[in-house]
Amino acid sequence: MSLINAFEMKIDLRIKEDLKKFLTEERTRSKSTVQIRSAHPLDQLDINLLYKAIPRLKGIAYRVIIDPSLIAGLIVQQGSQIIDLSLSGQLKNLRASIYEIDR
Amino acid sequence: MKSIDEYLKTIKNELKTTKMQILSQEEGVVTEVKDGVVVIEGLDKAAYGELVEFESEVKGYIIDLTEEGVGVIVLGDYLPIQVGEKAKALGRSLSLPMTEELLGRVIDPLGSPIDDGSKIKSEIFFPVEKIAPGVVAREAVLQPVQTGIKAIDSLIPIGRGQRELIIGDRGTGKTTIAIDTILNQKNENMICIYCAIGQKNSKVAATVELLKKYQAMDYTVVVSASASDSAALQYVAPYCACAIAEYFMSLGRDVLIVYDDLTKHAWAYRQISLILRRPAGREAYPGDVFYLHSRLLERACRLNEKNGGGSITALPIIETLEGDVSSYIPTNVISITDGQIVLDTDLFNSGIRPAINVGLSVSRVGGNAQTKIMKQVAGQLKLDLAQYRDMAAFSQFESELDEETKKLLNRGAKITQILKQKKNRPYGLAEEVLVIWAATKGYIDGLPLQQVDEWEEKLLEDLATRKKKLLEKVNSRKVLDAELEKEMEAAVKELDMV
Repeated sequence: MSLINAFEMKIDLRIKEDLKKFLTEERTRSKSTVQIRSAHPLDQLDINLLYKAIPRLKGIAYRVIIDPSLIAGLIVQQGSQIIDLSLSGQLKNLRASIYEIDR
Repeated sequence: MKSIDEYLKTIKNELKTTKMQILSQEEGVVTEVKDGVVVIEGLDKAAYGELVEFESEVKGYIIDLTEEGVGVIVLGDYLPIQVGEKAKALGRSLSLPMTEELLGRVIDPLGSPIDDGSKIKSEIFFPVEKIAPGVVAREAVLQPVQTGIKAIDSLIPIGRGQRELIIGDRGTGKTTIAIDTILNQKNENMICIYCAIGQKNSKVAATVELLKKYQAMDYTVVVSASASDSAALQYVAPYCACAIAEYFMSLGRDVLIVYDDLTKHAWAYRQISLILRRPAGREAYPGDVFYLHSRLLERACRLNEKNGGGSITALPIIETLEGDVSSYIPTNVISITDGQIVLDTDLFNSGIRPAINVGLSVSRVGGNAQTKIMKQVAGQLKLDLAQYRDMAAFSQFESELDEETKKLLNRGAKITQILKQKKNRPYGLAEEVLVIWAATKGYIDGLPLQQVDEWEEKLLEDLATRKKKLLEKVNSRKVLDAELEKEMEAAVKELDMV
C-alpha cells in the first residue's frame, strides 16, 4: 500500500513508471507463489500430505513461515485465497458459533 | 438418561472420524478506514454486495470494486477496525430473517430490535438487494388503497402496487399524510412498513407512540436508521424495509411501504460515494443516484395470481427547499414514480390542511383503481375545482360579477373547505363519498363558509349513530344509483342546517 500512496504524491514520471512496473511484477509474483504459515517446521512428508489433500498446489513454488500462534496445523495462502487448516482458526469458529447460539 | 460412558464413547467416535473440510476463503487486509467506509486490499474474488467480516466480528457490505481491492461500508461500529486488520469474505449477501412476528416491532436495518422486545429469529432469510419482478410476473394496478384522506381518495387516488411520491417543504405535513394512510389500513387487509431514514430518534419514537395509540402497530413494522446511525445504515435502510415488504408480499399480502425520506437517503449515499472517491456530478451526487432510487422503487409492484398475487405500494417522501420541485433529486424521483402529491407551504399557512396542491398533484395509474362510487362522485368535484381555479382571480371583484360566476366561486370555496381534514382522523369510504357528494350537489351552497365544518361534523355524527345502514350500503354496493342517491339526499336534507 505504501507504494500505491507514492503514486499520489508528486513523483518524477520516469520513476513513477518504474515503480508501477515493479508493483505489478511484485503482485503477480505474490499471486503465483503459495505462502504456507505453519505452527511447526514442515518436512517433506508434511508437504506430501498437503499435496494429497489439496492436489492443485503441486508444482507451485511455496514459502513457509513459522507462526506458533496457530497452535497447530497450517494456513495456506495464494493471492487473496486462504485455506485455514489451523487449530486457532477452528477455535475461533467454535467461539463464533457458541456466541451465535447464546444470543 | 445416558451414562457418562456412553457420552465418552460418542465423543471418541467423533474424534476418530476427521471431518476437517478444506474450504478456501477470500481474505484481504484493511488499508484505509474512513467515516463508516473501509478500503480493503485483496479479496480478489469477492462479489459486489457480498458480506465481509472483520477480526472484530463487525460485518461490512461490499459496494465498490477496484483493481486493488474493495470498498466496504461497515454495518455497525467501525471505530474498532484498524489498518492492517484482516477481513474475510463470507460468500453470501446481506439478508434479513423474516417472520410474521416482525409485525408490531421497531427494528434497525439489520433486523436487530430497537424496541424492548426479543431478538427476531427465523429460518427464512430474504436478500436486501433483489432485482424487481419482471413484466411477466406483474399485473395492472386495479385495487384502491384507501388513504382515508378526502382530497387524495377523490382527486389523486392511489392503487395497490402504485408508487406515489409525497413531496413538499419541511413542515408541510408529508409524514402526516403517510401516517394517516397507515392509520386508515386497520380493516383493509394491508401490512404497513414505515421506514425512517436519517430522522431524529425523538420523532421516530413519537410516530411509534402515535401508531400504538391507534392500534396501528398490530399490522405495522417500523424500520429506523436515525440521524445518529452511520451513513451505511441509512443507505441500506430502505432496501431492508423493501425486503420485509417482499416477504409479506410473498405470503400473498398487500403491503404499504413508506420511505421517510429519500432526500436523506440520497445524502447518505452521496457521503459514502464521496468517501469512496467516486466522481461527483451535479450537486456532488454520484452518477448513479438515479439508479439508487429507481431500483428501490421498481420493487414496488402488483403481482399476478400465478406469482402469488401480493402487492407492494410505495409512498416515498421527498423534502424540497422553498417549494422547488425541479431540483435534482425531486425531478429524478418524480420521473420514477407513478404520480406525486405536492404539498404547498402557502396552502398550509392559509389553513388548507392537508396542504395538497391539487393542480400539481397527479396519480398516473390510480384512476383505474378508484372505487366506482368515488369515481362517480369525484367527476363533478374535479370539474368544480378546475372552474374555481380559473375564476379564483376574479373573486376580489365580487360585486361586479354575474350570477353564474358568483355561484361557481361560492361552490369552489365550499369544496375547498370540504377537502380540509384534521390530522389523524382518516375517513371511511362511505363518509368520504357522502360529504363530497353533498358538496358537489350544492347542498351546502347556502351555508356560510364558517359553518361548513360544523355541518360536516354533524353529518358524520348522524351517519355514525342513526344512519349506520346507509354507511354500510355505500361501503358494500360501491356504485351510485338512483335509489342510493335518494337515500343519501334524505340523510343530508334531514340535517336541516341549510
